[in-house]
Amino acid sequence: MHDSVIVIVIVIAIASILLLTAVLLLASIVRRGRNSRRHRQLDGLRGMYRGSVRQAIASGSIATCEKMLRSKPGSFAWQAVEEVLLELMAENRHTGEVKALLRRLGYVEFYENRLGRRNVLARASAIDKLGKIGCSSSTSHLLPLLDSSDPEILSVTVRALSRLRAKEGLVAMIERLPTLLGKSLVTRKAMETALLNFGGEAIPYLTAYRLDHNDPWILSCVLEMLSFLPSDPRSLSLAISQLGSANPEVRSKALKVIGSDGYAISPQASDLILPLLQDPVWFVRLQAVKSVKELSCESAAKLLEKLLFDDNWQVRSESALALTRLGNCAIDVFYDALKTKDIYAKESICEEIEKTRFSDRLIEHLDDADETLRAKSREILRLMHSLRFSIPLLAYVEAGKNERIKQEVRHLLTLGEDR
Amino acid sequence: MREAVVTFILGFNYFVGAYFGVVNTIYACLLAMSLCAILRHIKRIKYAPMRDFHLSSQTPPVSILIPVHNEVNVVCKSVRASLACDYPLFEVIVINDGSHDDTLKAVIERFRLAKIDRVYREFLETETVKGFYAGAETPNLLVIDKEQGGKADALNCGINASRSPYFCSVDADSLLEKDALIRIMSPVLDSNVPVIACGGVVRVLNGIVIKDEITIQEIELPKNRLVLFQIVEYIRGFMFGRVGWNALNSLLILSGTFSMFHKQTVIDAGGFSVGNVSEDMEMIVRLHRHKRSQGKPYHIRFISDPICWTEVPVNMKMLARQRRRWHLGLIQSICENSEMLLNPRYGIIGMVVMPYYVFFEVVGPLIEVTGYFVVALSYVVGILSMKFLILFLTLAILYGVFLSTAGVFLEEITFRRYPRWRHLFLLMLYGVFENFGYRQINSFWRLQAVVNFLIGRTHWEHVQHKGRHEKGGHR
Repeated sequence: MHDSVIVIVIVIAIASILLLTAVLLLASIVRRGRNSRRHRQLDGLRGMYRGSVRQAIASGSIATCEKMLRSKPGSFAWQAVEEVLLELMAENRHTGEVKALLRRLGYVEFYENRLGRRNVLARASAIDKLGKIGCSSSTSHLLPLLDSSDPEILSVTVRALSRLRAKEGLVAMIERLPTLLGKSLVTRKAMETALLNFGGEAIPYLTAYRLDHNDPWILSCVLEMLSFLPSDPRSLSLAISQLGSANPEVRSKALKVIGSDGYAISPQASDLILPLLQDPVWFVRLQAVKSVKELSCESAAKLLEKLLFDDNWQVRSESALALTRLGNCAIDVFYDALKTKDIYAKESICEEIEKTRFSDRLIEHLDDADETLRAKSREILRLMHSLRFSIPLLAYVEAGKNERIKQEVRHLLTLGEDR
Repeated sequence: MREAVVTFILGFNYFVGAYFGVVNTIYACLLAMSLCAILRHIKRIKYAPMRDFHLSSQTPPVSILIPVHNEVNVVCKSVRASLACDYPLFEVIVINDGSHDDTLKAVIERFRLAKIDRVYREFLETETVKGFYAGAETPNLLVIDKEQGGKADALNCGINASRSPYFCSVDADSLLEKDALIRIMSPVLDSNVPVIACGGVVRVLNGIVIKDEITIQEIELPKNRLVLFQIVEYIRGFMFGRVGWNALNSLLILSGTFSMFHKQTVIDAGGFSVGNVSEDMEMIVRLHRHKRSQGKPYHIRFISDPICWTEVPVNMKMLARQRRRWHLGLIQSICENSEMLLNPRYGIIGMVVMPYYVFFEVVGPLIEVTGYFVVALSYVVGILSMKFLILFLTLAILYGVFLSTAGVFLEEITFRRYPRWRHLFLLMLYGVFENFGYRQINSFWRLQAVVNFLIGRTHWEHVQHKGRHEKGGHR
């Protein structure tokens, strides 16, 4: 009795597994067959429509082929036409005409209707399509979705709205900044990237937004976004006003805006930046060094010297890099710094000197008329060699042209390492 | 005496029946979860913001670490493929781990590199670094020459030299698809919880026709049967094993052939373990341990679309070495982190995943091979029921066939990398054939690994790579 039950169970299990395997096998075959046919048909239709559309373009207007492109929603032809027209848009050709054509063919309406679906994937897909089509009239349909509680829907909507580049979309996104930035990391990232699509248009809204909200976290996000947008006096003025903020994130982002390309900084502004080189928070100091580097601010040399010995390696390296941009006035700083005992600082300096080819300048100075400059350059190179940063010297011996310098370099190379 | 043997055999039979039932139920659950997860992922890809990630300032820099040891045949192609990745900011760091052949010379000559001086900080202790090489033509390529210390040591050295917040480990015998890097980074950019590691799909390179050394021109199946078995195995392992565990956020294995890690977390966890022969798995287990003991939220993810192609062994000797090493690594990883086993402090990892690996993956081969002996013993003592034996074998083999078919089905409904009808049928067929001999020999190698572990033979068994240097790949 017991054995027969076990046998029955095993036989049932075998039969079920056999059945399942057969189903999977059949499903794989059917699916492959169906997909092959579908792809063949789609390829054919795409080829056909591509040809017709290009002919219509050549004849002056793609609207002439509208009748031929019309098809039943959801059909292969519908899909092929959509892909061909979106391809054209991606190539930035006849964008306006293609958008209008997609609307007349019913694509915009079709996807707008799908926005009401309960299924998140279907809804997100429709939002994405509307963004790709780029009809600004879809903005009003997308705006309510900014109040969705699903981060996935929110981020796709933000991206779609940024593609549409409609003012209402921008205003609605900025009005919801705290929700969009605070909802989830995904939405925040989507928001920060999407706003860049609006370019300079976003600046007045972002800078004005800040006037009403003083949440440091939002403010730092706003400044971060401004740092990637084109330079604008309003952004600069906001950034300068925030250099004294109590929040280090805000100070750092304000510096980032100031250090970004295209700003001509007044001496007053650089007076505000320089004290931040001594900020207690390392990432503020780092950002301050980066800003100073962009400004090539000679008065910063002494402060940068201190930062060569910073606890944080990124600050040390960035300071050394900033100093190499200051030209000969950095030589004194490097000379003093390399005489100290801080091996970490010295190595960072040597690496930046070599990486930025400041070492070439030092080697050229070995034949300079100015004796002090010559002596200091020689000493820096000697110290670099002692720290095993000798490749520029070796390269000069191999390929240098000035025999006097070569002799000097050979002499330097014979000096031992005192690491 | 006979009575004791009979009691043992009967007891063993009941045990095996229960064991078989539990393990196959787990597989069935993993399969169901994978199916849902993959279907959802495939739909999401259509509107995934890959292009946005590519342009975004939020996309973090990544270092691709390629540890090499006597890989002169493949290293340059691997480096070229990695350099061709479509990613905004990345560097490739090749770590020459004391090669005795011309590996270093080949890379230096091919990419016109010269020795440079560079600050090197030992956040993780490694063997001595002999030099750094870089060149103007490929500013994002750095080659480190160091004393031999093993793959884990080479990876640690690469981590020390890396200046990016994330790194991706890639084997020298592998070929990355162009968008693999941006895809493997997408969970980092697309997650509310910090993603500290992420793995991608690894496929078998043998048989693939490659253009310009770096682009996959045509996907073909090789003629070598051993490789065909491995293709089915890789599809099954990656398409439903890992996807299933990923759905539970309890992945214990990411392939070292192609995985991405958050650098600081790896440093905080102590870097790759030099004594372990499967450093990738041990790292993942330790990352879980480290993060769970901190009580901070984190994710270790696996995604099924970034693809890295890798060479697999073409003969039994090399395959045996590889499989023994993998299993030995699994045992070592579990032993080194045994504190996590059945420890509620480590949540699902400690209470479900680790016990699963111990009782089904580590002990499995032992039970399987013991089972063959018990069958023979039953015959000797005259209690072998041919009816039960045939039924049980049929069930076991059919379940194996079902799992392989399911793996191929998942591949079919998702990425369909093997496009021809012939490929589909051949893969299905080898999914059946692998149950007759291949699976058993695999169990034997795994059992060898258990024995090696017990007797203390835990050295790294090197697997030689043929290199894809024949014209049009190697079929």
